[in-house]
Amino acid sequence: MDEKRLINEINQQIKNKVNLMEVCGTHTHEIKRLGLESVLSNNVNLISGPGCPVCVSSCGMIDQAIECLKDKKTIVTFGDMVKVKGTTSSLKEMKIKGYKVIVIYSPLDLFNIIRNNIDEEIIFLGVGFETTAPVIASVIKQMKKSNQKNVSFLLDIKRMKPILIYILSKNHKINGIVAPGHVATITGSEYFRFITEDYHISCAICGFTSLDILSGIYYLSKHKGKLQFINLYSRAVRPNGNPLAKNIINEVFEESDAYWRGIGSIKYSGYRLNSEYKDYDAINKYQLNIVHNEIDNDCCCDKIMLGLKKPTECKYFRIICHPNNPLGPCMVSSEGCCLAYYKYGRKYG
Amino acid sequence: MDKITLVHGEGGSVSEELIQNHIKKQFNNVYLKQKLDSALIDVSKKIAFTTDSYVVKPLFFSGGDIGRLAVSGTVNDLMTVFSTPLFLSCSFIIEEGFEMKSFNRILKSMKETCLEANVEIVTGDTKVVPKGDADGLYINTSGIGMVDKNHVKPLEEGDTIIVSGSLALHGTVILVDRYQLKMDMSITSDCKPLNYLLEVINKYKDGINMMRDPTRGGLGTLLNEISTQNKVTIEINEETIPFHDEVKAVNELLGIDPLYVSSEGRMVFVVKSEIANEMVNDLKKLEDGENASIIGRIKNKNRDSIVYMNTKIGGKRIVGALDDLILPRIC
Ligand code: SF4
Repeated sequence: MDEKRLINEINQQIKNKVNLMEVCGTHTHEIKRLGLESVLSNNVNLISGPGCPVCVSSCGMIDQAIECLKDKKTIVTFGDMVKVKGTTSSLKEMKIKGYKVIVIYSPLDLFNIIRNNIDEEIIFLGVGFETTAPVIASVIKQMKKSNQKNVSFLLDIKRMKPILIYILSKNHKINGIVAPGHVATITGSEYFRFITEDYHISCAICGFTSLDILSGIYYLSKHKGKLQFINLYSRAVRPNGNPLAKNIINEVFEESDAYWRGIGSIKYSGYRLNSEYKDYDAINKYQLNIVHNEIDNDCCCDKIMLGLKKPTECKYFRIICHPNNPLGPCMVSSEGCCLAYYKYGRKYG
Repeated sequence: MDKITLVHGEGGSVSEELIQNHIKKQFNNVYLKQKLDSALIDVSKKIAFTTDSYVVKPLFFSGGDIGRLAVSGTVNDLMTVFSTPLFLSCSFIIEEGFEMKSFNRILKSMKETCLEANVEIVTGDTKVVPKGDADGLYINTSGIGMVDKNHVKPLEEGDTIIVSGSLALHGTVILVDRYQLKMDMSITSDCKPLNYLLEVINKYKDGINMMRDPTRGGLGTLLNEISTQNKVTIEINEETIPFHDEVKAVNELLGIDPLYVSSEGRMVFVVKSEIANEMVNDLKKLEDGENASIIGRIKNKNRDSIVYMNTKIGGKRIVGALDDLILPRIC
């Protein structure tokens, strides 16, 4: 079936409201970019979830990274992270002031940076979910193997399952989950089965093309009332995922509590370096004290990430809060939900 | 000397050697032979006058280099106001230690691009700054073009929007280099002077209401500018916007929307709808023009100044202005 037929089918079969959460920021952006909501029946209510690693990154991490800069260290990080505000400043503002912040696209670029800055203390500030964790883990492993001394890692890596459990026990309106295909590539589709088995909510694992997403919505709306669990991204996702990637995660990391911006600390919802790699943990190496502050404003990113509010229901949206003056990380990250609504979601024509 | 040093910018005999044996050797013409501090040019008509600075990295990229870009960019800006480009100025700011071989390569490329564009560099300047104060080499060019008659006209409801070829090639080639993506690619930058369009432009000039080149910020930014400046609503159709498959793939990988990625050798025309089909057919016959396409229209006038897209699945969405730097996504 092509996209247009799928849309027709969805609109014809759906008689009552269904609330579907797409967990992943990339899905949210694609939905908005395609203008999906302009062609789907109003009965399909698409809610964005917490699957953007930048949006849920702890403010305390940014604050610590800023302290490290003041201490003459170099911070290397991903593009979106430089714009996220800590309690007082952002890495972008620090960079403008002359502190050394290097933006990279892939953690693999770290090798070059270390080679070219041999006399500097380099800290990689990394965020991500299970998707990014294996690459970061393998970089750390290689660093240890080659006995690199001038690099350490300030990591805020999150796990998808604990936050989903948290959401599903708080938000009871959700009828179906569009689960993130790239996380599933690593973890395997079985990782998400608890959604259907424990929480009695249908779940479709989806890729990122228009056809993938529409198939997910079609499937979840078609079987309303009847529980379904399906992997619609089987071209990339195996039931047990990618064993190599899972192994390297287990080799380098251990599960730990993690702090979710606006939400708080959630048990075992993150990864930290295990004892064998503690020399590479910046927190350990420099005795950093991460204080999980929240920025004192009325940004309701937390409610948005839990699917309890839409960006358009935030009183600051578009009025005070926009990409040049983001109050919350949801307006910063290219995966952020508020940014997606800002970019694609006004009236047209 | 195989490197450019601070002495090359001091104005003494070493400077003179650089100017005579390298720069003037390439750009030789009657105006430079005047050996005056300013070129003297006879102008009897209305002129177009523009300037731009070029700080691209890398200096050499697949399909061009900073020199070709510096000539093309200014020539193309002159063309957007329906002028015939004639004369350029050229200023270099060079970092101490810059390889003479690279400098000569850039000069040669500028010379060749000038020949292609039928323009001459008639005045210029060279400064050398201490190592670390600049990044390699920067170029500024200004240009003068002769205007026959001002053909930029008000836009009307129903006007058709045409692009002269496949978009976002230049910006994508630069992205691949910047993020060191190890990809086997066939695409090269589209960087070139647009004089080759003159024949078609002259044929249809009464029907062309506006021409603009989608450089920095790409098509998305340009259409937003047109919409705001002219108070018009613009409608574009996703399926008709020509992007090479590799352009789509690279940008998808990086999480960047190619609508906002630059072209350096393309023109966007807003034309009367009656001539649109015929004009596109003529554009398609030009070298590298096979992907020329009608991409949208002026939907209404004096309503909202917005740009929206009919997406490939039949949805609608806003094409907003770019708010910040283009940065790739994380995962
Ligand atoms: S619009 Fe801004 S202030 Fe409101 S929730 Fe989103 S990021 Fe926070």
